[in-house]
Amino acid sequence: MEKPVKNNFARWIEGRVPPGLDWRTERSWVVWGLILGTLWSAIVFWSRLDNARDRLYDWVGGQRVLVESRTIDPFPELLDQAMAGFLLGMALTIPLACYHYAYHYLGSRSIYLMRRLPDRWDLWRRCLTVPVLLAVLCLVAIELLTILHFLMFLLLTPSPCLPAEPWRQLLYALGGGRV
Amino acid sequence: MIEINNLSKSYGKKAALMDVSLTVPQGEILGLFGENGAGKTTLLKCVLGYLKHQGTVTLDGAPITRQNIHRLSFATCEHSFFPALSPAGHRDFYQMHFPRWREKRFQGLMDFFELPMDRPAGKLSTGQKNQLEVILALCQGADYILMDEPFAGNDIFNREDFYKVLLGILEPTETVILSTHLLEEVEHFIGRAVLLRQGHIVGDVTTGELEDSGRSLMDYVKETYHYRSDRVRKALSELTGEEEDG
Repeated sequence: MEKPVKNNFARWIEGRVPPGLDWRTERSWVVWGLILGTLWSAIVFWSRLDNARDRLYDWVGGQRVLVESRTIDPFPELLDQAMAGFLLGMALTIPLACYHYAYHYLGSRSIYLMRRLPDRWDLWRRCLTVPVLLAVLCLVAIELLTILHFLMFLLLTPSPCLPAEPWRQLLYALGGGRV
Repeated sequence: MIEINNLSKSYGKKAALMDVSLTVPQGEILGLFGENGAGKTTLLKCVLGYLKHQGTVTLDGAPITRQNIHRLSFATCEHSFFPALSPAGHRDFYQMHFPRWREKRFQGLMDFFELPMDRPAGKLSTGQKNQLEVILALCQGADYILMDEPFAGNDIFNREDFYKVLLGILEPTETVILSTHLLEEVEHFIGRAVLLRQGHIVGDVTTGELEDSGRSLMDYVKETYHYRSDRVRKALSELTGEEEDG
């Protein structure tokens, strides 16, 4: 029987998960986690932005009028809780790494083989690569979405109601600051 | 040559091995015998560096490290393969890590034992799992093959096959340390027997010496262990309340 041809990524990742573990399942978890985290982030941020924008207006004679003296809520405040999904994803990297290690005790003691490999790092590479990748992906997603949300914040907020130095708020949010 | 000097290992307050010293030259087939808890498994695990211990273990004079660990392989009744990986997957894994992998021997043994190449190891029968475990240890390309009760769960015919195949394929430089309870079965396979009792080496004899003295391995073990053949009869008498005949 001919072996299926593997692409470079498949070959690379197979050397970085515990032998026999189906990395495609973990990839599915990661992809779904990122999708759900992104959806959560979008829903939370956009609903907050919408509420904040509403507070910039008054109803005068049945008409919605912008009160130019008002300033929209600070951007980091609107972002609060919006990245909870990714933070959860980052927290899950610890049990995932533990599971990868425990895998070598499930159904056999393959840990004996891993511990006598000439390459001392293989065990750790296989236990930690996916958790580290997941943490990095979550971090990148947080920063990218922060920038994307900030662009929405700039575009959808009437200019007179923007804070004096909005870019400072972006930098603050990118650094992990929320309020 | 594996040299074990003054090796001691305790689990908490319980001493598992006490001041064990043993030399295993290359090319020897050594049987390691002893009752349950005698320290056989502990000794093998200390040699492989799985357990912290006192004393030294050297391989040709050098401590066993990642630099020379490839010269040792290990087959255990606990199994050290990956349950979700097929034998073919194991071959790829071993080839990646052990450059002296013996592909021809692997193919030959897989064919001989009719093991499926693409079924996950965890889905094989108990006997087949043991076979795969031993095959992997034999094909790694190691000079010293350590086996801890590798045939537990295999039927007698299967074990007989294995002994014969082993004797046929082992090269003169390959060393086997076989820990087992199956004294009589391995008697004609091994060249030397080491007896452990309560963490001490209590016997060390070559099969040549046994032949010269006209004793079987079982006789030697019983003698060394001071086996009391009337023990069972006495115990049964006490349990059933019957008077001893005297």
